[in-house]
Amino acid sequence: MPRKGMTDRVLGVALAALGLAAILGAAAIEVPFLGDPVGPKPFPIAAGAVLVACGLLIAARPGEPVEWPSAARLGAIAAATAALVLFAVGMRPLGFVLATAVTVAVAAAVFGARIVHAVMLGLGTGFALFWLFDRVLEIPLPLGLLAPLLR
Amino acid sequence: MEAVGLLFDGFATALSPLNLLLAVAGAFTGTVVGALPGIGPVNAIALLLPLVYALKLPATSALILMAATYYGGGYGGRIAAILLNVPGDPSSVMTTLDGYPMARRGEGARALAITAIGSFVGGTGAVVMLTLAAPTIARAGLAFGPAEFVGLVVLALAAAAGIGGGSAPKALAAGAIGLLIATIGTDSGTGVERFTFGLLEFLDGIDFTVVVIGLFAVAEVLELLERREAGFSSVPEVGRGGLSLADIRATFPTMARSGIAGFFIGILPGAGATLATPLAYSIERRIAGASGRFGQGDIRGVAAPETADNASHAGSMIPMLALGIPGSATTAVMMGALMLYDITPGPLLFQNNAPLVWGLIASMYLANVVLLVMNLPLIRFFVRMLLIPPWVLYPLVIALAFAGVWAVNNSVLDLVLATLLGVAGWAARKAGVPLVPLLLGMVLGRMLEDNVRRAMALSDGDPTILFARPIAAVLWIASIAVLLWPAIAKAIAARRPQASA
Repeated sequence: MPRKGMTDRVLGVALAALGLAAILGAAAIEVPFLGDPVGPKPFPIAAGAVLVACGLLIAARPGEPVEWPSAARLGAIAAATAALVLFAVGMRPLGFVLATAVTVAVAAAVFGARIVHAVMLGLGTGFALFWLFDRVLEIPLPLGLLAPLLR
Repeated sequence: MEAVGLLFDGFATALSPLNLLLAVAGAFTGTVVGALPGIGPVNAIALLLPLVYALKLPATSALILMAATYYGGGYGGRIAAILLNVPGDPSSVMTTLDGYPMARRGEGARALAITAIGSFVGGTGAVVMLTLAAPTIARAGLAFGPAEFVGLVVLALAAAAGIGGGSAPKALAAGAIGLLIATIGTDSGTGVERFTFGLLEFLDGIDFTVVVIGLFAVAEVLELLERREAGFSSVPEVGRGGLSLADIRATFPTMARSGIAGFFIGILPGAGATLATPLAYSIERRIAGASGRFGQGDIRGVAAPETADNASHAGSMIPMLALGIPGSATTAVMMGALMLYDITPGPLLFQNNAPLVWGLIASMYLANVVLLVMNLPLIRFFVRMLLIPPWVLYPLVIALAFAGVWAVNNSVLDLVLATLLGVAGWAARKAGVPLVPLLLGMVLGRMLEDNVRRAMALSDGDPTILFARPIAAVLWIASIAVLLWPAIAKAIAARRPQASA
């Protein structure tokens, strides 16, 4: 079990680090000329400073502990995330229909569908959305492997 | 009244076949997503955003669609709240208190009908007030210089942190991250790149649609997955019979009061429906006193929050349209959509884009009529929607979201980014970091920075210009006050512990 307030401590430090990175990143910007008295640096530096201050405040005074999901639920979330990455990676080589089919099928399975149902839903969604976007709304989508079939 | 003439022109715009169709489609979509627990109007509008963009809909039409969806969400949220004791969105939590007991008594139809009428009264009444108030506020806003706009943006961010509930440092941190995201890309003043990491795709900044879909739609689905949403295998009967004229007469004062309260709370940045509904409910409970049966199925107990809910939606459009300062997630997304069209909401909008503004306002009247018609006789259809199993619904949401992200730029990077933001958004919600301030920061960041720099250019680098003018000073003081509000409220509550019981 995580200790009380652990989430907030980690969160606070991470936010402060992000703020610090923003400050350093902004300070490193090279400005060829100044169009106005402020320039492009101070605004991100100020936002970064607010972030650092809030992060430290959160880490110093953690609130109620956060209950993180069980390993099984985290696994389901990881699987759904993987399905989304699969969509991004598969979009060009596989084409929209198959990428959607795979992603929707995996997501449906993670949400507890039977495999047959998941695959049917995936393919149905792939073709239906392709028809809607590509044909009705005329937003072109990659054809991928199914190019001979869809053209 | 010049407003009346402009409104008539607006009706001509709103009644064009395309715009009318979009208003009906938005009203329908909004009611559906409002009814479905988990998917709220923000997510629906996030999903619509890339579509309207890719379809190159005119800005007015895009806004009409989004506003109708926003409104529809206000109508739809009550359905699951009343029949299943599950709020369809956060603002219908109060509706469960009396709605569910009514449904248990077999008065589901009566509760659904009075809330549809309440939503209509609240929505339409607030649009009337908007019609009268918004042009005046915009005219006052014309006198605002850069310093005043800086103050307004700071107030909006502070209010989201202070009134929004939860931890103020977390909300402020979220706002700061939003401001930082807004700086990504080419700086308009000097042309230098900021935080682009050498990526060509980032030169114009991160696409707004990608962020919204990631942080809202994707994160929402991950959260539903975590909660292992089981869906509903059955929905109780709506029940026969319905409303009597006496019901309407009995609840009318409630609706009037709740509508006014909801409207004014909606105008406040950061407050909105989640604050308006409990307030309206507790006012009515107090007024009813011993004669009320609040909590056991009092019809006023469902009319009050639903009227306030829809009134606050119209109220929250005012600061966005008239000042360019959105106060809620949904209006922030709408403002982001307008900015995609290179239209900057603000006081000048009423002058430079009068047809857009008045077309939108007219469409709000129409959408409320459409929604009333949809939600009285067609209510059984929306009830059936609750039976869609989660394994069908949420994968569909994902597919629509990602097809939309793709449609914007045809970019694989955008898809990866939306996924990462989805995971980040889910983790942020778990850790209690609100995302509305982030969205506000992102939408308002450019405006804030531009106005700070404009003000400083006017004063030759003297920062006191930001606080010197009276309105700006008042806005800064108000910002500090709302930031400290949670602490003040706690101190007051500690002083009289009995009062809240």
